[in-house]
Amino acid sequence: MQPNPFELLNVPMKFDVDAKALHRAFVAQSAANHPDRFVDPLDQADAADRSAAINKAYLTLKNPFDRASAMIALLADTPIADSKQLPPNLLMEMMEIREALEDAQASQNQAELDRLKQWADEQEKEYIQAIAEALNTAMALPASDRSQPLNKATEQLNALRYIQRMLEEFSE
Amino acid sequence: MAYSEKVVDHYEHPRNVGSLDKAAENVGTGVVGAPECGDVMKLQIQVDQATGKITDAKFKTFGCGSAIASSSLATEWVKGKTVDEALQIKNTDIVNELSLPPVKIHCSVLAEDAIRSAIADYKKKNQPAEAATA
Repeated sequence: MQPNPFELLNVPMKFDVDAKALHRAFVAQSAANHPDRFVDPLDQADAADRSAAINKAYLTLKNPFDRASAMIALLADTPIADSKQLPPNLLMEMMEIREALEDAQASQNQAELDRLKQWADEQEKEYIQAIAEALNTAMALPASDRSQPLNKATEQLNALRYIQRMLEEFSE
Repeated sequence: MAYSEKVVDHYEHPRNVGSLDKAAENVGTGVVGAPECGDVMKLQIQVDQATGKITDAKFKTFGCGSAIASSSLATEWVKGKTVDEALQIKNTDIVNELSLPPVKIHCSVLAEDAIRSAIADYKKKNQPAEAATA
C-alpha cells in the first residue's frame, strides 16, 4: 500500500487542489521534517525518510494524472477489476489522429498542426473534468458503492494517457 | 538503459511500416494500446484466402523504440506463416530476440496482442458460412 500523499502533506483529499495551497503545505511539511532540525542521528535518518516521502507526495499531488491515480487507489474498496479499460473506439481514433499528426509533421502543415494541438488540448481538459466529476461522485458515496464512478475515472484516466502522449509530440 | 543492437536496428530501419486496406476482405487489422505508457500500435496482415498464408504485413506504432522494434519484428515473423502458425508467436520470443529489459516487456506483450487482434479481425471477416450461422 502506497503512503497516502494527502496525509503526508496534511491537506484534505480532493481532486480539485489549489496549486498555491498545495505548495504552502509542501513547504510547511518539508520545514517541519527537515533533517537539520534534529540532532540525534536516528531522528535525522527518520526525518530524511519523511522528507523524501513528502517530496514524492508533492510531485504526485501536483500532477493531475498522478493525483487521480492515487485517489482511485485510496478510494477503492477493492482494486479496480479492469484497470486497462478504455472508452470504446478510443484506440482506433487515436491511431487515426496520430497518423494525421505524423502527416502534418512531415509536410510541416502548420494549420493542421495547430488544429490537432487544439483538439488534444481540449480533449485533455475534457478528460480531466470528467475524472474530477467521477472522483467527486465517488468521494460522496460509501466505500462499497464507489465502484461505478471509480471505474469511470479509471477509464477516463487511461484515455487521458494517450492524449498526453500525443501532446508530448508538440513539446519536442 | 541502453537498447540492444537489434532494437536499434529495427528502430532505425523499421521493416514493413505502412498500412494495408483495412476494408479489404483478406486484410486483418489489429489496433492495440498500453494505457501504462499511451503507446498505440496497429498491425495488419494480408492473407492468401486459399492457403491461409500471411502474404504481407504492415505496422504503424506510435511509441517508444522497443514498441516500434517489437512490432517491426512481429511483421517480419508473421509473413509467410499461416494464421494459425502466427498465433503461436509468443511475446517471450520477441523479448528473447530483442533482448528487451524487464521494463520493456509490455512492448512485446503489445506486439503479441496486435498479432492476435489482427488475426481475430481477419477470421471474423472470413469465417465459414456454417460457423457464422452456428
